[in-house]
Amino acid sequence: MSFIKLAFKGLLRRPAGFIASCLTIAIASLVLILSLGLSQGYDSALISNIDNLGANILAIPKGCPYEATGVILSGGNLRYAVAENQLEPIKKTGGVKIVSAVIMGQRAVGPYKKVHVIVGADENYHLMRPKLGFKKPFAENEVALGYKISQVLSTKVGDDFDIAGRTYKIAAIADKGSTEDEDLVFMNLKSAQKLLKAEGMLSSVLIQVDDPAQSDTVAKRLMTIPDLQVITIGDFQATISDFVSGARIAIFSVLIIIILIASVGILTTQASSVAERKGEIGMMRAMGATSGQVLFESTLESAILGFFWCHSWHCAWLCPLIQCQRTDQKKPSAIAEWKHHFNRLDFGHNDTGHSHRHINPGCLWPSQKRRQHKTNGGSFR
Amino acid sequence: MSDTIIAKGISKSFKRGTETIHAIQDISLNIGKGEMLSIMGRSGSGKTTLLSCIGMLENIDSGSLVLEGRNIKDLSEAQRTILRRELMGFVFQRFFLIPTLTAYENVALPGLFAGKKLGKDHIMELLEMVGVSQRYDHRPGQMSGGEMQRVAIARALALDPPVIIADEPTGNLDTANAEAVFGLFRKLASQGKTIIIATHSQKLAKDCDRVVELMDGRITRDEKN
Repeated sequence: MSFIKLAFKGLLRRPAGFIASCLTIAIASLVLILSLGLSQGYDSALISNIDNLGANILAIPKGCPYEATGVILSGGNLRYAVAENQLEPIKKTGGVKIVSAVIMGQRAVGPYKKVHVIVGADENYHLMRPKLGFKKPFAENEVALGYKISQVLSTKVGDDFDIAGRTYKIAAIADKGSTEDEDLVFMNLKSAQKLLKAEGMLSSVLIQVDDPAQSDTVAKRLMTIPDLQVITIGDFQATISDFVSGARIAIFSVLIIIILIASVGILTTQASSVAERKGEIGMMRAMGATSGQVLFESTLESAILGFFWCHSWHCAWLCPLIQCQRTDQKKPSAIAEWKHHFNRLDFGHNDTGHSHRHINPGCLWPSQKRRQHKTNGGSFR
Repeated sequence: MSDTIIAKGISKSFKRGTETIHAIQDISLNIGKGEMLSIMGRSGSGKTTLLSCIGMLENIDSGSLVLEGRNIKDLSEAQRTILRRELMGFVFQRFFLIPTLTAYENVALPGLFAGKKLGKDHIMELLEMVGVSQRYDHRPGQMSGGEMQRVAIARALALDPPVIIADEPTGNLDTANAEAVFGLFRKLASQGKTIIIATHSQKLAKDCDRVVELMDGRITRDEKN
């Protein structure tokens, strides 16, 4: 006979109450695990995606930076464009190591004419984004496909590929699961500009600096170039962290309420159990049990109840993840939600307009706001 | 016969709302080693309270109580618990067996609280002595009232205490079982254990060495049979 055995047997005294308590705790712990998983997955997936971008700084047309960065991360048409002739001053800026010009747009592709995002990139793109697995720059009349789209359309390297009535040769297919760009079609910058009817226009410029620690300094230099908005990856990560922290606080508030409800559930079950066992507890005391031993036994029951079911949910949660790894599937990622959110924003089909819009101060990154605040002598304009 | 229990002028009262109920008043009682004493009286006469005070389940309001030479007023709550564990075995009318434990496990329970591992042979011996060894793996719900009370007696004897306190142990039993259980107490008394039994049964009380009768919390009769 041991206290653990006694506690286990005590729990089985009221099967209905036991099951009800278990369900309450199970639901609470499931929500806890899901919420923490979502929060963590969301955070890490975003950060990983930003890292995969391969750039320290993004140069984008003036406009809403949230919109621009979202479109660049997930693919889509920007409403405003950077003029291609701004590429030279960017390249000449001190501290800039390598620059890749990118244009994005959407066109119907493949035999089913489904609209996909087209990414036109120059000769440095494959160097800045090695995780895609492209070995060389895209030549004219060649395309490279994201892994997913190649699977969906059952295409392989060397096949012909139709985009808006023009035929291209598939030169490469991106590595599986390398980035979140599995739905994109990559092509030569000039070909993409021609296809998107946006000659001389760029959606963004990816910039790698010599020393990532000096990103802010380089960004300040780049800001002197007219009609250009500059975002450092640090800015973006900080903003994402702000978003995620806010979401996390909300999640934790809900969790605290759920845990309180679960605790009240356990408390009620244990209180009724203790009331029901008043005579037995008295008998235990008569047998020489100290009040500490009686309290320990009751607490042990609650602890087993909590541990057993929380643990079962941990197992239930971990099993699919382990299975995912075994079958080499990608872990479910919150980035899909992020993408979905931005894809819902319709930026138009051929709209690559001009960059003559002023920045809406409300649309600045928090770190940019701070910087502007300092520039304006402590007051927002 | 040396006195195991010496109670001098003990009183105990309870508050029920604004009313004070004097459950026992000025009770003096010496109980010798190996004595089998029955406490009789109507319901509410103070039998259970007297047993609870002797068993240190209730603190006395006044008077003194000496158990095996130790005055309980000098003891802390923890020391009383240990003394109770060493000195007393309890048997109640409602058995209070743990329903999810088998007969064997119920008997083993006092060992858990005392931090002693009771041997299998010892437990089976106790069950054999009370006549339910064949039911060692049965739960209380699978046993009759008489069998449950026997298991409760075996449990009371698990740590071999010198005093057994039984509060109406035959109250829930039929005549045959009541006599059998009483026979067990008789046997224990003959082995040198002090038995204090609260009972309503005149017939069973007559088989005890001594009868104490209570009325309104006071002793009205104290006779040897």
